[in-house]
Amino acid sequence: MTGQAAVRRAPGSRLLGVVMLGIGAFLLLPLLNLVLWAFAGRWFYPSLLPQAWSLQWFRYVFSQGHLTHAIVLSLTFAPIVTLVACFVCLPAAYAFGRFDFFARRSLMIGILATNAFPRFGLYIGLATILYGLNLVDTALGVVIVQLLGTLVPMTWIAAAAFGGVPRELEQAARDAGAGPMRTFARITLPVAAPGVLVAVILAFLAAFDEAQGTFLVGMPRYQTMPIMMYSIVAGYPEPAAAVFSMVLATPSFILLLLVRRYIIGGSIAAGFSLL
Amino acid sequence: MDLVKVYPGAQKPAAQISMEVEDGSLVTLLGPSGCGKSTTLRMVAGFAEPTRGRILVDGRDITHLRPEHRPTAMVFQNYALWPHMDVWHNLTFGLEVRRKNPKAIRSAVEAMLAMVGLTGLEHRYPAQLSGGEQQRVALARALLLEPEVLLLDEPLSNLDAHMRVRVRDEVRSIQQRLKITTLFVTHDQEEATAIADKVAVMNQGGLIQFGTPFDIYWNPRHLFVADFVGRMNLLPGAMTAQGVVLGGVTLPPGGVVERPVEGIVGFRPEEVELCPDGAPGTQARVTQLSMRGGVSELTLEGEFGRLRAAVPSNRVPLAGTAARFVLRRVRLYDAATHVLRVDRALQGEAGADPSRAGGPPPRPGERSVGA
Repeated sequence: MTGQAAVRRAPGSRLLGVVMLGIGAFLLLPLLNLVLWAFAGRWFYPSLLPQAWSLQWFRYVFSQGHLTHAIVLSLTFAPIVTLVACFVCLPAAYAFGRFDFFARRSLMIGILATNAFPRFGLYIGLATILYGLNLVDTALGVVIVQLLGTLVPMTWIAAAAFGGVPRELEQAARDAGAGPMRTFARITLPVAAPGVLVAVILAFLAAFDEAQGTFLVGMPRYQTMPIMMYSIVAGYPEPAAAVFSMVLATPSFILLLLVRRYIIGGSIAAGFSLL
Repeated sequence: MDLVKVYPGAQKPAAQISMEVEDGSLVTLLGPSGCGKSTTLRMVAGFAEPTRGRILVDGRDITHLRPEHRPTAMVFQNYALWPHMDVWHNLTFGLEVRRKNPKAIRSAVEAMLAMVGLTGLEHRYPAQLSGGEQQRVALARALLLEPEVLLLDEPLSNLDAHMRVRVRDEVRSIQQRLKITTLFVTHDQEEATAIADKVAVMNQGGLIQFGTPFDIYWNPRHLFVADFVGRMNLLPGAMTAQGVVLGGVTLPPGGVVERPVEGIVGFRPEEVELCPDGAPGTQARVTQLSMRGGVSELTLEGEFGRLRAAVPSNRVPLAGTAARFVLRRVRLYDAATHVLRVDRALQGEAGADPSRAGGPPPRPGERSVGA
């Protein structure tokens, strides 16, 4: 059975393979350049590869106090913002996915609109409000401004995930005696988990990468990695910038690998095909 | 229960039904899709709110209880097994919610697995089960809740024909063993009459007739029931003192009614009797023959029109030959209101089989004699 299916799929998958290779090269070659720079000891034109390899630039970056501070800050804020986004957005996403209520479409489009025009204008408006509330240069202010970027993935993707959970699964749980909260925790959330997980990871990355808003609201105290990136590119040797961007890219890379394993390998995916 | 459900904006109620279900009996809600049978079931389960009316279980009003507080358990059409839990956890979920002690849960679930024949499959996930197995898990899950009312929403419609009959009989035998009051929604009239103590025939949101399977089959009081349940010859015609008039031809025997009435004449194929050679009866040609096991169905044509007759398969005339027949029982439905107006058993001179001829509307016991 499996063998037959594999044979039948073969021509299509070869074409797909070529396409994927092209996309992969397009995405990965610049990263390769970055990696070369990060590990280069000596690298002079016109050599294709560095003349000497070393970890000196890693040692250099991690010896710079304000650079490591930025890494710590980023790795603190992103999880906090993601967590807050879960509490703020997941209930909304459930409502969007499940119920048909007044102005549902308008509200969803409204959330999408935060991505529809240059974010910077929005940040300036938000910064003005935060300034009035004395939240500029505070951790709370940074959390609020980073939250903005998580709204779209957290509500739209999670709403689709919740909407995809068959209503009967919830009804069966209610029928079995579970209240609404338990039904959500034991049935809806686990069944929607793959989609919600994708939403959470995209939200994490949105918060992790956020620079403009944090720059406006968090300066000078909260200089996260993306903000630091600007000054590094301008004021440090190229290999240091390469090391720093690798550090910035690492969480995204790990998370995306995790998501892939979770969604493809899990029995939950099998459960979906059932319904 | 006495229920009305009107959807917002709808002109007519989606379901309007009033009936009493005897304790421990199995009632099927039968009707075509969109007739309101599922809506009715969902109102009993608590997933749809009735616009008016009340649902009483043992005298207790459950109309406004939340689903989790109702003494009902439902088997869904698509089974609605939780895909992220294995069979064991699908079954224990409801009991854990009710804070039963773990030992009691374990023994109850093990007994239930044995009863529905799923022992050994505890650690499979729903996606790894066949349709029939999923169906039994869904049934076991509902039964473990020990509901006062078991609700089955087209539970067999996703099974193939062979499994359907098997699981149907299993459901019936479990239901009778546990004496559990059951509402069973189906659009399959054969299924409905095969397992039910009583059948509620619904159409266009209304309850058309509520009675035993025999009653529904032999005494349909409405044209819709006559047409929907089993096979019935339905022809525009009339009844007069001389006999039944079909297509301008008067079919003996007479003495049907004193004053002529027009409408739609209805009789089942098995109420058409072929006459032995030489006996009086209406002339007809046998045009089609369809063998259905012990009984074969003939198509008879003549000036009266075309009708179907059922005869034992060992006494079948050949297609293309001539035959004579008499009607043993006829009903007449009002052409406008579709309500039954006349129902007469006919005593013909040819009368070969008195038990079939009937006299009064046949009772369950009498039918088995005739069969």
